[in-house]
Amino acid sequence: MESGDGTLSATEFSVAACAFSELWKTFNSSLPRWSWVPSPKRSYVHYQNMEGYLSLENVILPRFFVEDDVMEEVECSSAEEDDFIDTAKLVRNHDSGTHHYNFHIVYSLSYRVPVLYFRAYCSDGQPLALKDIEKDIPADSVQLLTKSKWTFLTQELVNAESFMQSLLKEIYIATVGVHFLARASHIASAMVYITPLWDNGMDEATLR
Amino acid sequence: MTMDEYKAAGNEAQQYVWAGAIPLQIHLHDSEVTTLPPPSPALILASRFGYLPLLVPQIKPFFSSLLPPGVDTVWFDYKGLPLKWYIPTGVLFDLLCAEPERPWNITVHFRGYPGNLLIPCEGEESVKWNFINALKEAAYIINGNCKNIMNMSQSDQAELWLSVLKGRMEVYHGVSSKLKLEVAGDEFSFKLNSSSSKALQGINDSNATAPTRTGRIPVRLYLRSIVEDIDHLEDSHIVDNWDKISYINHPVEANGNCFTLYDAVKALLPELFADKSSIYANQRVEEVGEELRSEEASSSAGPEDTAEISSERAGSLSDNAEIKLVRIQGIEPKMEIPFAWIANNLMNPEHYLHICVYIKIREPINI
Repeated sequence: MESGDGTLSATEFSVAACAFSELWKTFNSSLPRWSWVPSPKRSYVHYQNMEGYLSLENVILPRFFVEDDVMEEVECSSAEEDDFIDTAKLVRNHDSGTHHYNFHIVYSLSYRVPVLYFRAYCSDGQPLALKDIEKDIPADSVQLLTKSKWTFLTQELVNAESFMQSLLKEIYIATVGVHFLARASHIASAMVYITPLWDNGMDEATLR
Repeated sequence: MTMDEYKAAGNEAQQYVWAGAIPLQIHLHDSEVTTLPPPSPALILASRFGYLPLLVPQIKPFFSSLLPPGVDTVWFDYKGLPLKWYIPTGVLFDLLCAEPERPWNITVHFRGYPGNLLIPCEGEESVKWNFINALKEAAYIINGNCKNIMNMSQSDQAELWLSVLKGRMEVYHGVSSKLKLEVAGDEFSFKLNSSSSKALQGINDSNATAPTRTGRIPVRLYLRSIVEDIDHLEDSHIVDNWDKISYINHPVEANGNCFTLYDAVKALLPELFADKSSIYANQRVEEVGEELRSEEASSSAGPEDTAEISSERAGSLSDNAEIKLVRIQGIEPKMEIPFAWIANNLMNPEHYLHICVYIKIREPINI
């Protein structure tokens, strides 16, 4: 189905995406569905076989632990508060709302593999800061954020809920506006390579 | 041209591009002006290769004493359109100013970052990592792997970024030549680079990865459509929404030595070059089919009218869109120039070639 080096063609991606979303529906019936978003049709722009991308939006993730420092932040602001700081600013620092995530799996013409993008935001639509995204990742993985290696995750698409959590678990975030590389090489068991494209320290890890 | 003349031409082109700058006149947004009279705009000469957030340290002194207390979240707009900070300044100018405006009047905001329209930017770090990311992607496209970037030493990485920040071409070339990212197919630039780097061969050794040229060239193409039938660019409407710009991040595969800029644009936007007679034929078949179906519903058009209407429609649709101009680094290069030369000499420091294309679209004729 694909070339030996693990890359996919745009057409293969479209087929695989379809199969992936079907499997997801079968095994993860309690989770929201991935939907296929077709490329906009414009008579003069030809998207070079890029027929569309997979989208899973407005996913609310269960929090792994509660932050105590949220309360501290509020107290600090109150102490320094003067008449000019409005409540909207306090709400932004408060981080008491739910965290929403939009996931898009897009075919990268450059790397010739699927790429997972996500956008994290709170209920009011404002993007989440890096430190807030980190809260959604299990504690033991947070320490790995300082390293930049690439991680290999093999997961059968049967244990639904943990898939999404595992996916986030292995994601290294160097900064906001994140960029990942994911490669699904077999449909039945998703073998997903998640690697940072941003390294805080350029170590010897190679990207392949 | 002799080899020396070509060598000189290549370096000259690069020098011009590196020296390229956009004069900016930056106004504080009305909603943030707290003094009478309002502050004078900041006049800044911005490098084409730079990014707007990198100018904040220069801009801030003009306005900081006037701002209300609070956290600064700097963003810019041009005639109401929030500017995407990860697009190089020169590209923003080429794309949004149909007729170059000098100085370029843009507005700075220190509050109210539109998080639903722009991705967050946390100063120089965000811009730097975005740059490195793009460089890795370009390396992958050119060589099939990013090893040369991942293996860069800390000092090389710092020097590379500094050369971009300060616009130092010689420093940049010192680092970037080690990366071996020259695009294949430009035999003149390739020859001059390899002759000058023979001395470095001993140094470049075991760690350097021999590039496997894929023949692919990293390109970012920005497509702006002008709907009106206009003769002068300055009459075109301003862009008020990023939805009106199509962005294509698509590597171009340069086939053979005679692959020109024209061939590259054709490869990226084949629909604009489609054979007009074939479009006509296809449209005609469709239109006739439609007319025949609708005929049963209404007895408006007879067969002869059908043929006439469909040929008229087909005629207008085949001329629906045409390229008005192709702009790279502020110039409109001749379409016959070899594309590899364009890529090697007009690319940005992250090794991407940014191309702005304006196309003119006729309004569809309603019958």
